[in-house]
Amino acid sequence: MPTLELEIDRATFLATLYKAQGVVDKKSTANVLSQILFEPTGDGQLRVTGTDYDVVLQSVVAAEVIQSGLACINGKSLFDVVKSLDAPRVHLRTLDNHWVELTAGRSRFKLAGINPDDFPDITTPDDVQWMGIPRGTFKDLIEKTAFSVSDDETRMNLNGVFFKTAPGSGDLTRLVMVSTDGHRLSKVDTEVEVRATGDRQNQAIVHKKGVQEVRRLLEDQGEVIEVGFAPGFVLFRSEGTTFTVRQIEDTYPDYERVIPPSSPVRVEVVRQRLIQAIRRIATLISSKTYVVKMELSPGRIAFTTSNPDYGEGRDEVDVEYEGEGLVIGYNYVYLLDVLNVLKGETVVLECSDAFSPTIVTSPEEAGALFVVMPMRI
Amino acid sequence: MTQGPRIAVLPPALANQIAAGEVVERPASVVKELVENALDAGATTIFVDVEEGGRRLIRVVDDGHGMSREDAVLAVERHATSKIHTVEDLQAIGTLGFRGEALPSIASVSRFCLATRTAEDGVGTELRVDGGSAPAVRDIGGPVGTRIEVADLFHVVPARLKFLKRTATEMGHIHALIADTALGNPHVHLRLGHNGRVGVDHPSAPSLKHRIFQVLGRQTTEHLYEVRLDGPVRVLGFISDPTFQSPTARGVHTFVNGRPIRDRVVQHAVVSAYGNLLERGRHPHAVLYLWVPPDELDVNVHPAKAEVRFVRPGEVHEAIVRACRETLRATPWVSANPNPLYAPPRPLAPMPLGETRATPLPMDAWGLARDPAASAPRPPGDPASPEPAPQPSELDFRPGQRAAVFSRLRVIGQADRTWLICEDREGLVIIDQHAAHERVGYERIKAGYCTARLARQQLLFPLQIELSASEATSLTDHRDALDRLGFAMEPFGGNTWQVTAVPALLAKSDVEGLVRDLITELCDIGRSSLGEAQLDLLFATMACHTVVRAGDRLNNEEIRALLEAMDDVDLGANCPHGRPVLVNVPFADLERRMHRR
Repeated sequence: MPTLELEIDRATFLATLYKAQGVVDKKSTANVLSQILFEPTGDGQLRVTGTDYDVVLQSVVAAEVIQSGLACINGKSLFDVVKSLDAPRVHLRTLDNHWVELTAGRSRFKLAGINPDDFPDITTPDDVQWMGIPRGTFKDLIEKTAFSVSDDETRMNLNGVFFKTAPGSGDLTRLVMVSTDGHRLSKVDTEVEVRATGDRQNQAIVHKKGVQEVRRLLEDQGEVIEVGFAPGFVLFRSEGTTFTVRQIEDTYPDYERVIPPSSPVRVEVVRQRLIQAIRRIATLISSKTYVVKMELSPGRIAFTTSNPDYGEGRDEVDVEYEGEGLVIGYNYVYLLDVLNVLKGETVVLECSDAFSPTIVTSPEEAGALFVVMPMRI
Repeated sequence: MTQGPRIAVLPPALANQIAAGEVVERPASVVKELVENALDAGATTIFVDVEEGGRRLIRVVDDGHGMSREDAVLAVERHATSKIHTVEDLQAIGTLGFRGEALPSIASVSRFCLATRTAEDGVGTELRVDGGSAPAVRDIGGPVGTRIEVADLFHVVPARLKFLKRTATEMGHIHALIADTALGNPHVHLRLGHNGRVGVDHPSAPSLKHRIFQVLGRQTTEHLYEVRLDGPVRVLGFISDPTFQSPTARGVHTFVNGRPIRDRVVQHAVVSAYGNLLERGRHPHAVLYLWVPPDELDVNVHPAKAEVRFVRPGEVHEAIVRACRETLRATPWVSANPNPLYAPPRPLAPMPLGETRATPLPMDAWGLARDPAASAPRPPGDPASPEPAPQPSELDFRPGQRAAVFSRLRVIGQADRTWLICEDREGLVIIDQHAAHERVGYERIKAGYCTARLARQQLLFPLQIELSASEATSLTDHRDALDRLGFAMEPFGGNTWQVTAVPALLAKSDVEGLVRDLITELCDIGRSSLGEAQLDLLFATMACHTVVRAGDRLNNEEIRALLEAMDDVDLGANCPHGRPVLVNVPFADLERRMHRR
């Protein structure tokens, strides 16, 4: 096995390792899936690969390659070591037993590694339809949907966000991202200018683990994040780092069907006031059921809770509303989640009765729509 | 062809032979009839001897009160019985035999010899019948009691003879019968000999547990724990801990009003009491005695009296489940754990087989002693069996301030992704995370059900579930209960149902799996209204779906939340399925183990 020797800027190295160690298995040290593979690409760059089979991270960074070879090191310990260093540059060299010697300033480490031949073969799809999406737009899509992905592993198709692209009006491309856990649903439907090389009509369910990792990409600086669709995979690329995420190959539920086209009751309310009222009431809400009752009456919304173990509470917010009185129960966490991802000054609640979906939107954030199913006692 | 009358009354001998087909199926049925007669005669010693599996000879000798000559002659006539006289008597049968069919039937298919003497008569009577011939009577001397010899069974009906199995098989049936008889009558000295050798010998046992030991052996006895329930249906006896199970129901011995019975309702109740403690299709071991008012029971269903019919099977079922569950919930076998390291969290009342009981189990209290004057089971409400004290309903739920028992523990961490390790001042507390979670879920569901405050989460995508016809029926029957449990369900055409809301506590679980499990449970329960025991089963099934499993990684915060939740509910020391939730390891024990003391 040829020796790998290189020198790399510590900050660059750390940023790459940060993304890679998120992917690899942190729980065991023996597993090949907890390892990160290092291989020079030949043009003065270093390719860093980490995988847990469902998500593959590949990142190419500038490095001064002194001698070309392969190395495979436990991601967690390498990340922790590099994070603790204070020298500006890190020197790395493989040893005979697949271990790696790491020196930086006065620090010197020997880290356990494995035979790089044992690292799983990474097959990356070649026929990829890439499109460049403005970072801000994509970040908004993810932030407004990632929180309502289902954790119920028996419903695979809900374990990720549904992402759909289609030609929009004019030169614009329509982007739709949806998530639901069966009790609530988040949808962002927007049109932006994208740089597309091929077909603009694509869709995929991206597993929540992939979504989580992609969020790390969004912390980078670039203007654009590239999203690629390939059979069985979705790819995300930014600043030399690529996440290849296995699609959940299942059908996504017909979400449009459960969004009521219109509701008889419509209230506009200051978002922060709503959040404060619910938070105050939440201090008394039982951790068993999370139920908060919303009482709508002319001129105000009141949130109430009554818990035989702790007590009762009521908090009111003024609203412009002239219709009939209405009482609906909600899981207060679901309401807060929605109110917290919205950014506008006001939000609009639309509902019809204690059994039917409630719609939350914000006049300042067209395209974002949230459905919350009520709770009953 | 000569035209005689087509229909003729059968000669008595032939009628008896036909009846014999029902009553006397095999040698074991002869033994059964004769032993039951002996018991009805108040015998305390019954010796049974058979030759060649009973084919050649069956001899039953008892020390009962015997028969006068007149009675003895009548006894071999069909439908002659000393035990009932009017139809009304049939409603309240307290004796084992009553049909008056047995002796004539047996006598009609064998070489039959009866010798008997009562205490009043100086001279005994011997009576011989050969294949249903007229009885030959003569004087004989002998002890008080009755001796019956049945030789060459079925020699007059060769067809029946062909159906007899190997000697070993026939002996197996006889042994099983003697075992059941022995368990049902602990005070009776029973002996069974085969071809001149004594097979089993059960001397009169001072207590039921002695008798169980004699009959079932040490190993089984060690696994048995007492069950006791008073009420309209009394349940007494012993059941095994869940680890002691077998693939057949043969280890379950049930007696109804002193009669050994194999009944579907009873068997099912015993198994369902164990719930998930038993794997599907497995059976526990049990010796259970049921007493129901005689007028609530029809024993005249089957000529061999192997079956009974309950007037209210639902009540019987529930009584058994409740009785067994009470014992199972206390998990007495945990306290019996010989490892000194593991002390149960609370001192559980030990439930040993008599040893630590202040007074030995009085057999009279069990209604098992059969002194001839009171051979009928005592009716419940009898002064000797006081009405059970009114117990606070199990489903009582009183919210209130709770002590910080668990949340005060210091969390050390999680081991093997299964055990939560905590400490208090006295020692380590090791908590089974799944059991604890399940217990918390169970208590919350129960509390919510009882206060009708189970919050339900409306579903965005209603779930359609296709059911079998019988599942759909039981769902229809129990829709109200499911509604109260927090499930909103509506028919969706055919046998498909739609779930539109689920209990908020379970909103994050696999809804379809949960609903299917519940429906399976409801099918098992049948049409009867849901009693506490059945509801408990449903709560436990639901709780099982709430929760953290063994193997889930928990961080310290999640552990803290669980401990707080454990304080929040009225936590018993066991998970709803009867496993313990936690064990204490006192530091003192650790010190001993490390030889610091």
